[in-house]
Amino acid sequence: MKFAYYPGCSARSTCAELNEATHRVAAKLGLELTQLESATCTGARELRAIDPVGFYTLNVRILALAERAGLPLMTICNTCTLNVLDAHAAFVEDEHLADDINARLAEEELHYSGRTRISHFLWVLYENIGIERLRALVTRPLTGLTVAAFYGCHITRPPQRYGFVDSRNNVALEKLAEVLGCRPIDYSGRTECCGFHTAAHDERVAIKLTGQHIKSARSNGAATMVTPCPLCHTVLDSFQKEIERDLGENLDMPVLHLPQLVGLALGLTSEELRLDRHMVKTQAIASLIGA
Amino acid sequence: MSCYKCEEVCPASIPIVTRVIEPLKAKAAALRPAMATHSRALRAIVAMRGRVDPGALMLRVQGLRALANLSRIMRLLLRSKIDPIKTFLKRKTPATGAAARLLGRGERL
Repeated sequence: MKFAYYPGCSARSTCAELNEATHRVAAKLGLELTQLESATCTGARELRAIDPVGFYTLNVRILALAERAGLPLMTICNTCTLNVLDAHAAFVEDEHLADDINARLAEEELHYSGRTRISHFLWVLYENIGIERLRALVTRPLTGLTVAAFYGCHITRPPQRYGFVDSRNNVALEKLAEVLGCRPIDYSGRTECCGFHTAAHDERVAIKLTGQHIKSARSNGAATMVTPCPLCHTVLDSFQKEIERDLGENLDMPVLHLPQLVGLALGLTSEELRLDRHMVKTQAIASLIGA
Repeated sequence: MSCYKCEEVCPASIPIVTRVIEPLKAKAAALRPAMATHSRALRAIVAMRGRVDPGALMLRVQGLRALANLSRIMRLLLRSKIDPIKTFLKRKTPATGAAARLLGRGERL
């Protein structure tokens, strides 16, 4: 199975361990990834407010690069996923916008005809690998590991954008955790916002919001959290010291990227998955599962 | 915010963020560009480098305030999560050319 692979900016900088882990896990799963090296940032959620045409053009260009390679697109960031989905929808709905974008892309002999299929790594696990095949590939069941899944916003919302996904009753990560041998736990923040997109100008919102999520996960018995989004990971992991200071209590909650959790169950080591790059120490997980 | 929680719970299925908040945000940014510091900083960085450099973004948005939390900066540096050399040398990426071309001509509100 081949994919055009778009890691996004975060997985090339603050969360570089996610990119490394994704490549390792993809190889284990038999996924061949062609990384789109010349792909730009998708514009986060900020660019659209001041430059909508620029926003759509950058995102459609990513889709056009995948289309030129004749491959479906795989992402590993929630916000990037929503951005390319939004751009694809605008492109197919607005003929004039589509013509304008293609005129801009023509300079580098790129053209988009609206055919690229967009998928996030989480959906690839379900739709392309399949739960039964994944179960068969598990060589180190993560028995005893209690996991709190943190979805983030842009993989389930806005409603109707993702077809089969119901943002209020999403259990994809929990089902996956069970397949990997973990025990998923329920808690109050699993489909809430981490506040990342407000953090650049004022991180207090992110600290307050995410503090409640981690606290709830901890009090419901989670040994670790897992997220399919590097932006959520940044708040959950890199801001955790400030969150602890704000709450006045120790949380000490390791946070894994989704491919890292899968990789551990597939027998990869914590070194191969770069768990050492996390701000909150992950040794407790590694020793619990013997990685 | 772009969490879309309001759209999720709206009993009338009104696309509140997409059709109301975002267009208002765009108008506000056009009327008072200084209000859109984050958006403008992100655009400038992407146009220059092709991708977002987190250090550069924080410095542009927060100014010297970004350097106030020294303990976090040290923790991020120790885990190689930020790279001051990349940030201050404004290192280009393989995406730089395309971003400069497309955003350089992009429509600004």
